[in-house]
Amino acid sequence: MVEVKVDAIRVNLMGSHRVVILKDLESERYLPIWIGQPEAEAITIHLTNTKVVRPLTHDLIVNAIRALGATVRYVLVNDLREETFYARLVLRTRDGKDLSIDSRPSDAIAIAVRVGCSIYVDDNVMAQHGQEPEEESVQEEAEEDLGAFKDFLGTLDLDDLDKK
Amino acid sequence: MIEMKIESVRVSLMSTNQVVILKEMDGERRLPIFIGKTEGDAISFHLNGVVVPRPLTHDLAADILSRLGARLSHILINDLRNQHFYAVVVMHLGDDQEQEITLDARPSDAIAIAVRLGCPIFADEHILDEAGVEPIEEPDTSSKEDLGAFSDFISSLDLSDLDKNK
Repeated sequence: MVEVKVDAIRVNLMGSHRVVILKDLESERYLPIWIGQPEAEAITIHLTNTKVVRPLTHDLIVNAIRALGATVRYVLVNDLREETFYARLVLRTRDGKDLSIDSRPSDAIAIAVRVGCSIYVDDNVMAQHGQEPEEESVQEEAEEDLGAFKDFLGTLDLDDLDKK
Repeated sequence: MIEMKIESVRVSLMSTNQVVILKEMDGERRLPIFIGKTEGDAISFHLNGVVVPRPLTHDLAADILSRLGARLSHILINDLRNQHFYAVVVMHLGDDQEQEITLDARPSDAIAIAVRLGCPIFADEHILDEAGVEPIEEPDTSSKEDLGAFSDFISSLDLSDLDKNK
């Protein structure tokens, strides 16, 4: 299991879906997961400390878990089949038993950010679908952009500076 | 407390919101409540038996409540302030169900959970007094008017002719 944190929630300009980007805590790997708009809002509303008059659905779930004497141990994004991510919500009951409940990753993450529990991604899922930023291409691009400026610098006769 | 049933979930043409209409079990008053599209879908999908590949948020909520041993007693729409309805979800916990737990909820969430776990829906009397609407009794005259031409035709018939044709 790889521990991750919510790095960003991004808007897809082509549709109503959102992307939550999970980042490996110990490396530069990122796992993007497509989620629905309401669930994305449920996550961002909490992360941006937006006040709501009445409890949202995930607030209600968290209140219920607490009122029933249980705690959320962690959430785990454990599978990806046919382009759908699967997650488990692992609860500890008031009797000290662990319960693993099937959930969409979006709901699990919306609950995790509210209770402050760890978010994990299965090793295989991260190995197969985690993405690392391509640093080289970024550098090349940056050098190209500076090309004109470098040419200009090269044409300067800096000896003139001393003469003035 | 007045027991209600879900009469319909309707789409608003003016916004993305939906309206859930609750109707008194023992009366004619309706309570229309504006709810979000997600919650409206959560209620109507379940009532219409729509099969979803992955659990929706309210399926998860219902699953968590059941797995943690909660028994839903009822939900109650108990307040209306600044045009927002408020509700509570009432459940029992424990082997002999002695411990009562009451959670604040939006009516939409409470109803979406109630339909999944099969518990009764109540509204406070004062909510119905304030926001309940009674259907306007359609006077029968309109239907009589519509049938006017037909009635005239019927009366003009000489039904004694029927026997003669036989």
